[in-house]
Amino acid sequence: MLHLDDNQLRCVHDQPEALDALGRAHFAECEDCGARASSFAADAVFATEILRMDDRVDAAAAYARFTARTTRTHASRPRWLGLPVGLGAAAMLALGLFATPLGTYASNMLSIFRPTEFTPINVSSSDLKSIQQATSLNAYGSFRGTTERKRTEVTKEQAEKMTGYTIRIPQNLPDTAGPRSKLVFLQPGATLTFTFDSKKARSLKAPVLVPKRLDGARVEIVSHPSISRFYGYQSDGSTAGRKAARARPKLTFVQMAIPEVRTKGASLAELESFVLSQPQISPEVKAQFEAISDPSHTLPVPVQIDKRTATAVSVDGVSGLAIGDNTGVGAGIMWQKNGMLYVVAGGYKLDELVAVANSLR
Amino acid sequence: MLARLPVLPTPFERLFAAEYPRVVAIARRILGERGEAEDVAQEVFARFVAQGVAISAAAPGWLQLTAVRRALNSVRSRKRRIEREHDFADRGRPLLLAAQRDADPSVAILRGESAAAVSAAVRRLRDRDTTILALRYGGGLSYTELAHTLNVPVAHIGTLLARAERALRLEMTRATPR
Repeated sequence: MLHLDDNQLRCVHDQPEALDALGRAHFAECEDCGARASSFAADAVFATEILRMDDRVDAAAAYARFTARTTRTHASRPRWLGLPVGLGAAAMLALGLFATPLGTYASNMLSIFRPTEFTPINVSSSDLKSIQQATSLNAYGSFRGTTERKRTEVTKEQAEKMTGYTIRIPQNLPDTAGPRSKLVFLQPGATLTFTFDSKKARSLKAPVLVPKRLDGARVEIVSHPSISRFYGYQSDGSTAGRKAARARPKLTFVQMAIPEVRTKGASLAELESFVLSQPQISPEVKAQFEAISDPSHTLPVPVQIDKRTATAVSVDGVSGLAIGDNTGVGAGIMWQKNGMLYVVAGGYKLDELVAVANSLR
Repeated sequence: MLARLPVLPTPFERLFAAEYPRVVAIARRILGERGEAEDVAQEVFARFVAQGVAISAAAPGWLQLTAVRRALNSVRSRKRRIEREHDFADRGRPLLLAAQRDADPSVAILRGESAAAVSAAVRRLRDRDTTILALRYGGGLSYTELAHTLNVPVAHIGTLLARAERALRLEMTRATPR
């Protein structure tokens, strides 16, 4: 047998299991290899000795210093930016969820799996754009169906009659969030059918290869009616009134049946595999999607790590996902109970929103 | 009555608690000074947030490698500063001499500052050697973790480590007065 190479000889010192039986046998008998390994070991021991330091640090104090620094950075932002950020979180969680390409993807995921929990997927701003591109289904086929859903204001009783839901209303509201109206907004359901078209995907500037199995496959997205209720200062229409309304926190409550999607010719695994195989999806994001242990009951919610934080919370007797912005102003909570998806979001602190969520009657 | 929010650490808090000490230790192998290493670690985490790096299995590797780069950059800035001072030789000579004295392992050892001498020697190595030594002896990374972080086959790690350790020993021997 040839002598052991430098890598194997260095491994003898602190990773001997890396040597195979032949290598070990050779090493036991070869004086040359023994001498070289001793030399490597001496260097390693020397390095260990001189590079030994007391590495204890106070991570908690360091974190406090870090957050103080972050807070200082946030404090330099104009105050009015806090509200849009909070509302941004709300919008993403609530009404925007099923109206964006990302929401379409979420709907796809929902379609096949009835989710009972939500999990955050940490993404960067560029990841988010990439996900939106990769999940912009328009590029891979065509849609049919209604996308416009006119919202009407009705009484709670009328809404219950029209939807068949038992509508729940928050009873415990922050002092600044008086009810705007006793009415609720009802948005009818809609059905969208998407059909994969490999020809269309190939004709793109950057052609996308739709697997043969998916060509012609149909995905039917059924979103059920949603009920929403908005709270906050009411503008009287004047400039001052509008300004005052903008300055006060808003609160949004949404209730809807979990959307469904029926597929024909494609399984969820195939759809997921296709979307995650798109080059725009970073390996980190892909790994997070793939790491979901129970995908059939878990809805992944992308969270921009630089702008928001995600926390698991216990609300309404179930587990939900809370997403807050880094300023602490503005947050949203989403949870699922008895087939209904609920969202409470707005420019309030998380514990105030938890109180609202726990007061549904 | 207000419902109490269960206090759960966020993924970022968990990452910070787990990786901050390691990031400091890595930077310290290059910079020597604990305070300076902590400053670098704070910058590394701030950059992590600012760049929106995802919290995933790859995050620790990103933090560790960024710590090495930031520490090396910090050393280079310091060196450039010394060189600028050298340009003003007449006025700057005392400063330069002081800086050189700090950077010279032999002088430092004589002053009993072995830690400073060691980090000065580490900084004299090639970046590749400095990086692997800092990650191995500061971060405590295994062969597999080193391979993953440095993006090299694990079968090369022993060789790279052996070369870096030999270079360090030679550097220390060369610099130490007999």
